[in-house]
Amino acid sequence: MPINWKNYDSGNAWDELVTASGRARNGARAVLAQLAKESESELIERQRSAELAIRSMGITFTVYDGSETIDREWPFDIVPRIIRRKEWDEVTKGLVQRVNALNLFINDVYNDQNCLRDEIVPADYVLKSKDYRAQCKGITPPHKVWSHICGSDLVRDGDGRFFVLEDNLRVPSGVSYMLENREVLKRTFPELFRNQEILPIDDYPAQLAAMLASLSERSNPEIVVLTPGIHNSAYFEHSYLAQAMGAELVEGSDLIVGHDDCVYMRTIEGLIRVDVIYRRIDDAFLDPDVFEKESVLGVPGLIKAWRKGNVALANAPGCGVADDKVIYTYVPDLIRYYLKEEPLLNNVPSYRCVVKEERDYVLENIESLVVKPANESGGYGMLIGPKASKKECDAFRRHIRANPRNYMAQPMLTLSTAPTLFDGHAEPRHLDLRPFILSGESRYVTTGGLTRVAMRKGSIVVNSSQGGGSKDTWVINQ
Amino acid sequence: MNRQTLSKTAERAYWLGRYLERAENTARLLANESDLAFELGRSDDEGWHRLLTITGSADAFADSYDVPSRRNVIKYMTTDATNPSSIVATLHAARENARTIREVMPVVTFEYVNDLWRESKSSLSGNLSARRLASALREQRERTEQLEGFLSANMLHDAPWNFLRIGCFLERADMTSRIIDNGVVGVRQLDLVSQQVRLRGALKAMTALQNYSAEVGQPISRAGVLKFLLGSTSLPRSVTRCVNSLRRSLGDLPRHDKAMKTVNSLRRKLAQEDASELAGPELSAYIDEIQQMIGITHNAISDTYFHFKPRLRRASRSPKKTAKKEIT
Repeated sequence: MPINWKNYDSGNAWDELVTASGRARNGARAVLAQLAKESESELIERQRSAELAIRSMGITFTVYDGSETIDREWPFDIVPRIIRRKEWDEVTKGLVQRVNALNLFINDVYNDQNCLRDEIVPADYVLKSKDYRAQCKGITPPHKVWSHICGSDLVRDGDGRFFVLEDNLRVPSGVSYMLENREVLKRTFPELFRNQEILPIDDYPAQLAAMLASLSERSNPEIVVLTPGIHNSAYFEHSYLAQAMGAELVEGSDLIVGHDDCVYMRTIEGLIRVDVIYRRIDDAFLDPDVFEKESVLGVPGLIKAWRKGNVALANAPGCGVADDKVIYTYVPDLIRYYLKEEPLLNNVPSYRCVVKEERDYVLENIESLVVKPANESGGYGMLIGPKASKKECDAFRRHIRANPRNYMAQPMLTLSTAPTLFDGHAEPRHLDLRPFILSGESRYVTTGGLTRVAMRKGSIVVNSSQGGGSKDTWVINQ
Repeated sequence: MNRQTLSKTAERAYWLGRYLERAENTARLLANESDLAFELGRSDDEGWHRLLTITGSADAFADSYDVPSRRNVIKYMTTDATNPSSIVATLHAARENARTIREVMPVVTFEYVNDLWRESKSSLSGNLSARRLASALREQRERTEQLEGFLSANMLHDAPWNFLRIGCFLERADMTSRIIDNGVVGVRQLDLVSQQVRLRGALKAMTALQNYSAEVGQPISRAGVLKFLLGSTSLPRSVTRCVNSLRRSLGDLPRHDKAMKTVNSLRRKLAQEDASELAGPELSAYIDEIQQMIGITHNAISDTYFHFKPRLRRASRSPKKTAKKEIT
């Protein structure tokens, strides 16, 4: 039986394509109609051919399974998520504002520390953060930018308003999947694209290359992508971006720092100087001379070369100091402080466990809250109160009392949903959105971003390492 | 921005070329020996033992097996994981190299090499009848040839491609010299019928029987086969042809002077010394020399491109003035 949208019910969640009364939202009409035109078996066939395309295009992500790494095919749903351009333009402004403030904050932390003196953010939170790197003091990178590539996670609440859930300032991944999702959908469901004005997304690699080039003063600078190697979960993306930019994909062992404190790579031409490194290695592993002594992924002398301005690192080491879920709660204040503007995008309301009254509230109401550690990514180490057992809640109470600085909590949001296909049926599934913001000489925001879907019914965990899927994301000119 | 080729990438492409070629050649050798054993009506193990000798693995073989029987040698050379030159181990090594240079290859290459490895592993395992062995080996060879064709048609013909080709030609030249060793040396001691079977076998192992008739004509003679397999400028697998093709790929690479010197001396030796009338022991020595020169060429390529020792500038020079290219 074809899909009947009247029977589609997303409960109290705001659905991206279907209104509460089962009508198409503005901009989604053609897509819903096309989907309803196809039989169940036709839709199953579409989904299968998308999976085939993903296989033949080699779109994988790597998971570590206790003993070995496995390449899994990227999970993808053929129903696109649709956003109208007018709305997206507003989001874009909010994202740029946010990342500008965060970059000014990081630069301030490593230089004048005005925000600490003016007590905008408690100094301890910053200076005792495990991501604060004293080795970065006194450095001002080109354009005063530290986080050149930022991936901010957006969600909508039950009323359809966008909120920022977190900012990934260190080494955010996912952009290659955003690009590939569009390719896969075009191949497997070209009918959806008929009579639509969908804004293109494929200028990202060129924008990334231009941004990276703007970090060097040399003309035609040599750019490389530094990967921890084949076993990293995002290796596909490292390889993809290097290929798309025409940059070399290097590992630490391909680079060497000379006596002149410049960085070189070993090539068949001999040693060639490197000007900009897009590093996809955690900063703790970048340079065994300075950080982790045991690191075999890094390059001895790299930080010295960077401090001297002989090579640009994107993102700059030390930028993780702002990628902390407790610092996140201060971002609206940072926007007001540095930019003298009101935030255009809202934070999700948050409780800081380090503040007594807020901590008491969290301990009291933990069953209804989402508790997050300050410094984890990938959805690890967090508690989803409404879904947790009493034992788990008690364990988190103990963690919070023992180390309040390390936790913050947010009310459980009803994330928005979009129709997702299961055996040819459309069911609502929760999702989020990760746009990418590039900051160099100028600013660029991806058109839309990577939409991640929690494939299990009712789940809000969208991470691909934990069974999340994805969708093509359209910004349409309407 | 013009992508540079990393030493590591070049080395992996080179070994990918060598391993793919090696697996194909091992399949050719085995298929040929299996064939010969029938034609000569031989029931002893002499031919199988000779295979171990020409691939230089008799000693390693003796560590794990008592007798070089058909069954043992086939197992050792096809699926034995302890033998790094077995077909399956070689394809696995090819797979690992393909896996780590995905960014310079057409995207489906890795999947293709991966399938080749997996399928050879399953089709070559167990106790194989002559017929099943022949079809498994043929299948593997054809798939390797398809892959070569696919890469030739779709891969960017730039430096990694040239390294892949150089690896392939060097391996092929080496194997052809071994096939000559196996098929031609000692052939004079045999009766006429066996001589013909052996010489034809050497040609067949290189898919060159028909080509021989076209370029040299009948009947098949020892001198003719030697000239053809060593010196033909048109037979794809002759040593001379491999060296010429290698030369062209090397010529496209930067900094090739040192390696080119060794290639040129190999080429001169092939062109200037007529080996077709050499007697058994002299011929063996001649082929040894060719193989040594192939080894020296490998070393020259490795020293120039893969494992060169960096000479770094002293700090006294201003980094701003450092030329973008150069410094070794």
